[in-house]
Amino acid sequence: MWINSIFVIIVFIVALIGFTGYSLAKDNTNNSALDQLSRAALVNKLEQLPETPIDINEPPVGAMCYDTAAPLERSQYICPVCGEMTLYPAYSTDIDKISYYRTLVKKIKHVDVKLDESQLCEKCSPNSESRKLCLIVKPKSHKNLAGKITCGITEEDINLIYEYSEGMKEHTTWYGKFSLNNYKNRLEELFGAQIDEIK
Amino acid sequence: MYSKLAPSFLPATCVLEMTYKCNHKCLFCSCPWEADNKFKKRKELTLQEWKDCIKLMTDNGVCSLAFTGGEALLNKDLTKIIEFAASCTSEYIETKGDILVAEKKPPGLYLISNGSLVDNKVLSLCKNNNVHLSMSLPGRSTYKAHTQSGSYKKIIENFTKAKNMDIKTTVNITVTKKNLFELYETISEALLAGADTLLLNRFLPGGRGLKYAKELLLSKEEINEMLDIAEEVLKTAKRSGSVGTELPKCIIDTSKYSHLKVSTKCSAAINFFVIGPSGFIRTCNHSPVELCHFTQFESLKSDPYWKKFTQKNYMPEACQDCGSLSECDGGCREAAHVFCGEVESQDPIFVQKK
Repeated sequence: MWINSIFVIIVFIVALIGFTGYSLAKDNTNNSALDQLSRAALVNKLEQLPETPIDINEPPVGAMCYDTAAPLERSQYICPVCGEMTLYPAYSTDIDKISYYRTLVKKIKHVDVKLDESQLCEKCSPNSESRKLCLIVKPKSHKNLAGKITCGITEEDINLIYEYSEGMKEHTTWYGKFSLNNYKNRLEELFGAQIDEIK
Repeated sequence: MYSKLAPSFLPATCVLEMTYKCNHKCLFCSCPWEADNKFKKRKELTLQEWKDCIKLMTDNGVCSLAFTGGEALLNKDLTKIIEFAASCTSEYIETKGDILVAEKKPPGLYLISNGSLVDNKVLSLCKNNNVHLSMSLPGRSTYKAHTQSGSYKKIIENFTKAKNMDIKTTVNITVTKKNLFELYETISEALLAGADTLLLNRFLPGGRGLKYAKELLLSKEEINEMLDIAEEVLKTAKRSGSVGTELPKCIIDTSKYSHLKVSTKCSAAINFFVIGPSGFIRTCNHSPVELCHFTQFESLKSDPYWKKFTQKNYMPEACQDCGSLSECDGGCREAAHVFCGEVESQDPIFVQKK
């Protein structure tokens, strides 16, 4: 009698599991049909939500875990010498890429090159007439000469010096590779001295 | 070029951790005091000290204050602190046309909560003080498995209540290996309940989460799946969202996302910083390094650890020759620090730990 009752209960439980798809262990793969249905319903409801302005076209400034506050529209220069912050209009390329420029300059081993950022800091140079990034270049073969200072330099200028100092024959740009000799005049401006033909 | 000395070197957003206490025990919690390490819990700031702190910050260029914890609502003085913050004035210096223009107005206020203690009183506080409310929703069926407390249903209801009171809200979802499968549904239901925007955070090991790194850490493929799902929901709902933690550019294609803001740069010590429950400043909420008390914030200018972040002297060796170096900081530097030992270590996504 007891055995029969237990058998009936077991059969009932097995049937219940079979018909309802109920599982003691959570199994997400068996719910695909249900998920499909609810997904379709969700899509339908989401499409009916009122539109809100999408404001993410500009390049994101940086991430933060509590990124609820939109960052202020400005470029910020933090002086490595005094630690103060000088503000510039948004998207000032030299300011936004300054740490990258520093890394590029560090890669140059065969020429004595330094970034001169002093004009960029309002605290260190309150009376500076211009706020430009400068490069001081001193070829190793010109030990007795003072370094040549060029202001208003670009990322391309730093790359040209790197490529030339590494003995490369070509200059790499977004548009392709071009003979470094095409940039001889600019290199001479940056070095403040004549350089040999690049063959 | 037009330039202007900032009111101070401090970033414009300050995250205020109001208390160490929390009513949840989230597996993914990255609060450094929840790790089995030497992080020292000190005496929490009093009401007057928080007021002094907020006044000092807003007088020195901070324009946004984000109240968090622990669980911010467990600070018994939070209402008074938020009301005081709303009465302060910040100087917003921003670009208008080609020049910088300064404008004085109250700081932007943000309450980051797990949502369990949000009730009509809290919603009224947000409404009356123009506080943007962010609530955490780490999964639907997996909600409780992640938080060890609270109710998914209650958070969803709170989004609806907030919407009805015209309070701006963000649904904050920490995505793990265990809730990725229902991310579409989780985002959808929060938006349908009334959340205005989405803040997506990939799980990063730290705090209590260090113990669960193996079970929760997403792979590169799963991170891409996470972004694709979020973009799909947001596009369908005509909404926008953002990813809170920076991603290494080499593992994702940012051009795919038109509704989801995905960043590859770190903002710690540049756009935001953190003041902990006891008043000590850290570079970011993941950071276990306390630098100085807020009253001595000027000392940060010469602090080597702070400068490492402001000057971005923290790139991993493996990234040094990368062509994307100008657009990427190699992932989260503090998560790398916590998980691998050095700020210059690789992002946890690149590290396989047994």
